[in-house]
Amino acid sequence: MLEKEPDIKRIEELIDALMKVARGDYSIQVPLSGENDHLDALAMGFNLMVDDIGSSKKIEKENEKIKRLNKQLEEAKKAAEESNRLKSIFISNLSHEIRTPMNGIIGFANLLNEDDISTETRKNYTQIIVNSSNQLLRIIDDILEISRLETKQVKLDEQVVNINDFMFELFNIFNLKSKESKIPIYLKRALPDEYSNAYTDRLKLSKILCNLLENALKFTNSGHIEFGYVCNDVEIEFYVKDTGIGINKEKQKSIFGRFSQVDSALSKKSGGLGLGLAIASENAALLGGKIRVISEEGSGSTFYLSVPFKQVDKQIVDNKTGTAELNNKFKIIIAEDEEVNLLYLETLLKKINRNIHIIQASNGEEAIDLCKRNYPVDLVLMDVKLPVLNGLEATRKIKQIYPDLPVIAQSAYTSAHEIENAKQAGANGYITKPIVKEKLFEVLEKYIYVKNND
Amino acid sequence: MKEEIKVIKISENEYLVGNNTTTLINPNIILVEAIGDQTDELALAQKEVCDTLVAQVEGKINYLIDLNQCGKNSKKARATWIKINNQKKTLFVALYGLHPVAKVLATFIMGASGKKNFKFFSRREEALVWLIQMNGTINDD
Repeated sequence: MLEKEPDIKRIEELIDALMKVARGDYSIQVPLSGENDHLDALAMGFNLMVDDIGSSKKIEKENEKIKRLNKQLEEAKKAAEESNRLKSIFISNLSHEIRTPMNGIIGFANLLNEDDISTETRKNYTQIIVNSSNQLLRIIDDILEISRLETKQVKLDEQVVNINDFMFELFNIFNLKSKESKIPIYLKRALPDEYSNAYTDRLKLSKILCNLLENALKFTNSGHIEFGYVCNDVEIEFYVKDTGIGINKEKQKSIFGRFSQVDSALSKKSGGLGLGLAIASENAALLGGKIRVISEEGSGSTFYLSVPFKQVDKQIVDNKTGTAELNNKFKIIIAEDEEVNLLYLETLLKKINRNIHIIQASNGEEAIDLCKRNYPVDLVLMDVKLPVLNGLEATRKIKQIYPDLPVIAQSAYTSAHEIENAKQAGANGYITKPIVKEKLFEVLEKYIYVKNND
Repeated sequence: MKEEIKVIKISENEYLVGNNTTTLINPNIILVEAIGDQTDELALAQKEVCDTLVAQVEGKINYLIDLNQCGKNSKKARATWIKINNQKKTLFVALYGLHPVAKVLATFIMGASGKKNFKFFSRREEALVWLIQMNGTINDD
């Protein structure tokens, strides 16, 4: 009965439709012949079943959508509750933070009225009142600033900033503080001085990095703090890395929000309103950048601030500042892995002659690479004990490539054997640490001035 | 876009809903002759007309549904028949059709209801007799 050509065609249509359904197409329908026979009945049943499955799938999808929306609502609810909780903590902190200096101000102002106090005590009380007032002022400033930032009342004030100088100033400020807390602080700079000029808002950049450095100091009990920057053509990324208490993953999500401070018990100990990172984050956005954190509880944190790098043509800076052509500067590579030693050498060199361009390398391999990239170089000051590739090996390799380039080994080792080893490696001279200005001057005179006068 | 369904009142007891004719053939039996595909909109219009006719009847109502020329019933259309069946005034629904397509359609309509007051017959006469018998049973009670 089904061997008739039209019947076979109708069965084939049904099979095609079945295959389409198997591939997930629930819009398929099998046409009916209108004969109302068994094949039409089969087709009708198939069409109705496909309709039912299709609408079930649609309902499933809608249910999933509803589930997603519910989840989002749940998360939003949690966020709102968390925000509410943080607000309560903030109010409590605020009260504490205001009352503490107010206590100092009112208490010691009353004591000042007493008749039997000495001049020295009076001065002491006055100083406490001044300090407490300043503390109070900082709190008010923070609150006003976050309010201004959120209402977009703060405008950028971009100017040419030498990033290296700027970072060095920060280093000087925080180096003093780090000495008090006995946590060493290191600075790494990625660009030579003359290429580190950029258009940015110095004050805002300073506010952000100061906040990150203050936090690093506040939350680091042992180890060290390192800060610096790396950059490419379009972006400069500052970082502040510490070996402090770290932040757990959950808290990392809310750390840049208002009123958040990692631990309310800790906040009582360390003080502060928890507005610092919120202000930093808003300021970063204003600079066209963003802040992020990578941290592990107990192992420390690294905060990154990425902002657009609007590098200033060095020619423009030269014209503006009227400085001498940088090409005439003496180029010295300092291979030194200890930041303090590096800064000391840099300071000495700049005192001797401001017309020196210093390039930093933190290991032997980097020293070789920087020689190649910056050649002609006038002098290499090579620390003997370096990571990755030690100073003597690095000297040997540099001398193979540039036999005329003077390399001066510098080390805390003072034995004749060490000095001989340095000579064998090809070093032109050897200076021992602690380096004295006069000795360094002798080296410069011998290898740079003489050479340049030739 | 929503389909517009034309409803024409032929007499107090008879309506044309799209291509379906709906007639109160007995003091408590509505005959629906379903013609062509039964879309969502058609089913809704059909229910409204049934409700109008039911309002004229005192007591319970039965439905006799002719599926001989009926086309595909959309899921909503089938659900509408379930709603009609679930109404307080509805007693029994008898569906009929001579060919296997009608039987499949009836099965899909009845299958979704899960109630036992739905039954399919091949011929109109059998369906009508069942309705009358069932009403008698209830009346006897």
